[in-house]
Amino acid sequence: MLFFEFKYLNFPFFFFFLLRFLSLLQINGIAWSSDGSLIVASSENLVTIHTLDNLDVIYTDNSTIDVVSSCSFFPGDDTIVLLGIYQQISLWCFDKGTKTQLPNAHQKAVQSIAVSCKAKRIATTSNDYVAANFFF
Amino acid sequence: MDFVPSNPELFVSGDADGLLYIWTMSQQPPSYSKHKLGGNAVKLVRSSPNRPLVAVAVDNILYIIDTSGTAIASSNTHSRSVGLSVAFFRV
Repeated sequence: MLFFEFKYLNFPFFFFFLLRFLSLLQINGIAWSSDGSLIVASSENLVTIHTLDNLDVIYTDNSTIDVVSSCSFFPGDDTIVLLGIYQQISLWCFDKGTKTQLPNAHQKAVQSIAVSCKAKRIATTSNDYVAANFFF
Repeated sequence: MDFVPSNPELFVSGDADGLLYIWTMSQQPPSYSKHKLGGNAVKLVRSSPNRPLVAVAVDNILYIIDTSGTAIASSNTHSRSVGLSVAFFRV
């Protein structure tokens, strides 16, 4: 028989775990491909690629060990997704299933990514108070 | 918030009550229409580069909205991926 006593429940820790669980569910990044046919969405533990047809999921990735905090498509190549993680930008080539890292991009988590298809540039911001600019 | 490239007079924004606002900047003062989406707070709004569509993230749900405010599609893929584990801490 299962006994439950409220005195064993540490409420601050309980709410910490509850908020942590809810934050895992929250989408923290969405971006369109350059031709407007695909959408990438990221939450802390999952990245999905959707088509516009009923938002069908065509690719998913949950292999990133670090927390994913932002996402975008690579400028000029809609088969590569940029994922902002802790200190790094991960380049996920979803049609080949490969990943490469751009290390030491920041000191802390990459919070947002913006791309310029014309200039082939990527701009990122981070919790380290630094805005970085990469040219490909 | 984000501008709508297919219609430069429009931009979209969201608020913490789960409302999506579609603003028309051609009028003075700017007018808006607001649309309630399922969920708590609008987290992100991104416009399609070449179509009158907007991707909206509300909590764990992804919506595609056209610029009239009609929801075209939604996906809650990000809610199924997480296993729930709760630990109690004895004091």
